[in-house]
Amino acid sequence: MPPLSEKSYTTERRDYDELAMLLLTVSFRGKTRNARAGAVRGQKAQFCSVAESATDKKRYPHRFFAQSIIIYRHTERRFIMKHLVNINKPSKRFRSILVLALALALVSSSWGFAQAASAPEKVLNIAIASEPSTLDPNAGIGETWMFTVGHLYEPVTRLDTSNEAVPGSALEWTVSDDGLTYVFTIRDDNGWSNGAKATAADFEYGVKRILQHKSGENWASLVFDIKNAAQIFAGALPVEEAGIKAEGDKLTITLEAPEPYFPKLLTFAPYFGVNEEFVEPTGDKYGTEASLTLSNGPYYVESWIHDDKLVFKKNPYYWNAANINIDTINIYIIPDENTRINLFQNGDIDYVEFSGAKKAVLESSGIEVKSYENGRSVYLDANLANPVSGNLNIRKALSSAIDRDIFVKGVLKDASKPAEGIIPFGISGAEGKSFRDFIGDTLIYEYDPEKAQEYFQAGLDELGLEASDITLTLISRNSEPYVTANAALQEIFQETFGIKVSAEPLDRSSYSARRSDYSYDFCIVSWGADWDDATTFIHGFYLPEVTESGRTVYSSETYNEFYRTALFEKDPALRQKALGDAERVLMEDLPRIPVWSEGQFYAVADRLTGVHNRAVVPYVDIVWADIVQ
Amino acid sequence: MTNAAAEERVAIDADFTRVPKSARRAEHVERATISYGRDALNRLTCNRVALAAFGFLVLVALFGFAGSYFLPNYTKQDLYRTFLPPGSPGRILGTDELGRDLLARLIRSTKVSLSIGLIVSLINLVIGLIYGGISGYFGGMTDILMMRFVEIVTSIPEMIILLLLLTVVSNGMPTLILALCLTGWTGMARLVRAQVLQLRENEYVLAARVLGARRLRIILRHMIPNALGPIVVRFAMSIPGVIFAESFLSYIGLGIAIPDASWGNLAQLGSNQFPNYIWLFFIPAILFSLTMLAFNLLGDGLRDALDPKQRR
Amino acid sequence: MLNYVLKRIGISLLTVFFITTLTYFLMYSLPGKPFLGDRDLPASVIAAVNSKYGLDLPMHLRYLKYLSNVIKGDFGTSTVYTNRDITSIIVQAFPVSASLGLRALVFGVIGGLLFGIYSALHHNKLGDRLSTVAAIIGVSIPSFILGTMLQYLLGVKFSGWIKVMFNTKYQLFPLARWESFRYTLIPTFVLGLGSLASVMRMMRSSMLDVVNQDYIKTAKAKGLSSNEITWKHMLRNAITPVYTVIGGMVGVVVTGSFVIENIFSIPGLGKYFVNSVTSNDYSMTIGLTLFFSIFIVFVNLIVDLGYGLIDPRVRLERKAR
Repeated sequence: MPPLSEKSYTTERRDYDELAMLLLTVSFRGKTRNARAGAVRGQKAQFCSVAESATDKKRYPHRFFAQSIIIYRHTERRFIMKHLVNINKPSKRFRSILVLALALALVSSSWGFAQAASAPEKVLNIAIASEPSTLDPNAGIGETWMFTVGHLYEPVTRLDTSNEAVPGSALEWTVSDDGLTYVFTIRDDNGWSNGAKATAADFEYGVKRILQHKSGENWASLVFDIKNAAQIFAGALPVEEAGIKAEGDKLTITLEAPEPYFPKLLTFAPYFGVNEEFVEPTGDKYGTEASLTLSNGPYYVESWIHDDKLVFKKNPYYWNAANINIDTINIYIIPDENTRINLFQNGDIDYVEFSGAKKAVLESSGIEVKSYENGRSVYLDANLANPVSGNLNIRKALSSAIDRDIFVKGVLKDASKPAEGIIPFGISGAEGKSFRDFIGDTLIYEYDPEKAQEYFQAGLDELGLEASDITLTLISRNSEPYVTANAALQEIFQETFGIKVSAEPLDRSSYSARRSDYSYDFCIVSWGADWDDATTFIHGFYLPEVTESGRTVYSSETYNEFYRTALFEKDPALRQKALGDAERVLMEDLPRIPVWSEGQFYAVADRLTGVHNRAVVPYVDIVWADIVQ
Repeated sequence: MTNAAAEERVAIDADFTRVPKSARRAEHVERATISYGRDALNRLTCNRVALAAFGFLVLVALFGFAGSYFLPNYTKQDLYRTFLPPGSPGRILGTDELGRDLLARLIRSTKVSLSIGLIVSLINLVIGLIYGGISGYFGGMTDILMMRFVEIVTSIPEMIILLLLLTVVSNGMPTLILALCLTGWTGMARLVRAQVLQLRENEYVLAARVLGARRLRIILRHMIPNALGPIVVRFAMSIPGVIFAESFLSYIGLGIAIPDASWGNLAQLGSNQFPNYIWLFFIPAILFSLTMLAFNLLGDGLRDALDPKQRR
Repeated sequence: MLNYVLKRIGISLLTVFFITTLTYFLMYSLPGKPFLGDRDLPASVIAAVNSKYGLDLPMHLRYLKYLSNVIKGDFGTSTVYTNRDITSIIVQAFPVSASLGLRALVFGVIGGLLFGIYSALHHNKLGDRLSTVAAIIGVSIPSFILGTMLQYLLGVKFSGWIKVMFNTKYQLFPLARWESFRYTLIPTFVLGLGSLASVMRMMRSSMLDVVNQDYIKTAKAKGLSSNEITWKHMLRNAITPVYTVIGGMVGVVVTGSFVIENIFSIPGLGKYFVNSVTSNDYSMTIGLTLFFSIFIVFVNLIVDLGYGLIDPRVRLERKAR
């Protein structure tokens, strides 16, 4: 290591001192891991600093000791010994002082020099359960993908803390009277994390990637709301015909049909923009590595060790960077729930989500357990083509057989609530209330064992069957809580009606196959909101086309009438009322039997504030979060 | 005959009793004959550790097979009584996350795991005897071809093929047994072949043949007892191996499907409930480990008893 | 010798080809499809996804394409990790698995040899009895049970106790992940214990076999010191049978690490493999199976060839044929 020149001495030493103090404060907050990473990088700097402080120790004795402690704490002893030799021939006196300092450090592990710190870097640590499938906003799948891309990209609109669509990349927008054409003015002060300017063209390119089969084929049907998109995707029209155009700072989007919720739909990842210049050369590998990902949102990915750890850094080119408080987010990928909880209790992560079974553990250790509605509705999807599940009385009977209160308390034991309709809690409604609060309980066939038997008998008479003839196939995903719920429902139906229920928890691809072949009677579906509006749960029932396989699908003229009203209604309250009426029709006809509305337990470290939990993507919104000391 | 000689004869007769020629038992051994089986049994009964292990295994088997008559309903849920601790009234070992009786599930899992271990080992034994017997008996080209095939099968990583097979076929006991047999028979086949080859060439077989023993007698009296030892030992040792593989597969969710129970998936479900309800993990895990220990101890004991050459 | 090497390599290649084909057709017969969620998708979307993963080609074409890609070192693209090639996943994750496996092997083999030798030299004494019992317990506890137990007992209970005792936040035995030496302790121990126990048992009996051999008596009669007898004569002869056991152990350690990696959240290849199996990421399962098979077959080949080099008797026998 070359000795520092006299000239650079003062400035550089100040830097080193600050770095050392910063590491010190971080370490005293228990952030050993990060400090450790920093320590390795700043090793040389620190030793230099220590060496110099040693010569100047009369003036800064506390700093010297503090730094020695850092070194002791964050490097292995052999490392220190190695560097002791490497430092420019340190005097014997220096060595003995350092050894003394190390001894002191050993004795007192909580040296109170933290007050001397300058403003530290704000580092947030969180853990997610699985690796995001990709960081390409147009392509991925899964909740962790939505969470990560939700923090890396700036959509046209963003949801504020009261779940209203507010300008994100757009400054403002106008909508035509027929509700079909939206014109967004894209702000010119936003930038990509490589310094490139973020423009309206990025959004056009993002959607066209999907339409041209370059990425995100799985999300294609979501962008089919845009005019001509379905035909372009099927190859019937050239891509230029798409109803999405960027000219200067204007982004014009034309829709196939009016969608009052369209600005909220734009907060969903497939509609995000990507930078064409950066993406084109990477081909379909965009978003698979940190170096192959570019962000125009609050954060960018600094590093990504697959299935282990992601590091997000504040994006300096983000238009609102001044209001982003957290500098670094370390995202650990920890599939095991117990491990996540232990890390949280140890102070290694600042935010944790967990199932109901773990609530008691955390509470017993004095941690405040909170919960939020994560906007997932769990229901039994009936296969209407099969005679038994297609029988309305049988479906009424099954719906009346489930004691949803006991089910939630006894089986799920988590923050979920008994369903009050197909639309879950936590989805926005009107007049500042959530949809459920605004509309109320629409579930018609509540728990009633006597009526359940009546309906069941009526159903049997219609079908001309005996209870013992009936075998229902009940499929679900093979993850919790659906496996448990499946087993519990199996038991409930068998006990109540004396029928046979074959419960089949399936892995994801068998599940997909069974779903698309319709080989089941009932399927436990957990449907998450794609956008923050009741329509996300029920739009599929509106004028459904007959499927190519000729399957019997649910169709109701009354329902279509209400839904159509909602599509063209300008007044938010009346619109939500119409949607509530539409939902009541579904509750009478029961193409889906709602069971519960999912809720999620979580806990936040005291130092972390401003986390906003939503029922929609990205579920945990830490864009506005801050760390207080 | 001279006089002197006759006198001498008389003198001898006075000192000794004459053995009549017909009753001569020149080859007779005065000590009672101990058959191979009895000898082995003696050695085994002298080994107290192996006996204790055997006793434990009998108890475990009784627990699993007889217990299922007393507590047959291992899937019965009781959503009002979940996570009862051990020692609760009527639920000796407590209940799991769905209020199912842990004791009933433990009995079921014992039955399932033990049956799979026994059935797979037996099937492997039969396949091994036939395959190895044919290969060793005929020798020559048949032997070379058959052994080449075994070589290829053994060089396929066993666990990977198991995982693959179980991904493709649906979970369940028959498919699991089939999968475990597909990969498990080669060891026994090799052993049987080696035994047959070795015995064919052995001196005592040759000697028996020279003495005019019939083929059946050679097989029954000489070959089988001599080959039996190693084969029985290998059979006993393979049972815990099979149970291991089964539990491993069930643990990662590919073996016995929930709600059926085996030691593997019971431990897996239990480990999900850490650290609140640790007994859900520890009870099956400890029973499992103790059973494995007993199998290994018994295997060692059997080896000492049946295969005296290997004895330490 | 050359003949033998060529024959072994031939068999290995045959095995790899056999596995590839078997794997491919097994996976092809699966009922599953790429996971697309619960949405009712238009036919055009399903067709596009299928063509993306090459699922629209007839089976034989897909197979041929796959074979030619594999020869080029391209194992395909994952269906779960959108757009990521399996080759790059292998490149990233295998070193972690290899590091875990090697640590466990080194721990198991060295520990096993030392304990085995110790036991044999102190035959029927207390130390021997104790280590034999410990070894039999070691082979009796499945790694997933031991792993979960130790994670709880050492990672949660013991480390928690240390934290309270010394009023520190230092996690002595981290629960999960793979960062520094201290993270590797429990996984290595759990994965290596089985190998340790079986190497120990093998080494002990092999040593005891050798003790009764005539050449040891001769050596004693010549008046060699017991140290010399142990290290020069006994060890060299006793280690040969153990060598085969160690060779076979590589496969066991690799597959054993599947579940250990899952329990301890170690970003190794085994975790990917188990996840791909449970989430039916076919191309990943096929790719990783192939990789593991090639790896294990290759290791076995080296072990076999090495066996020929180590043991002169094997060499002679082959020459005599």
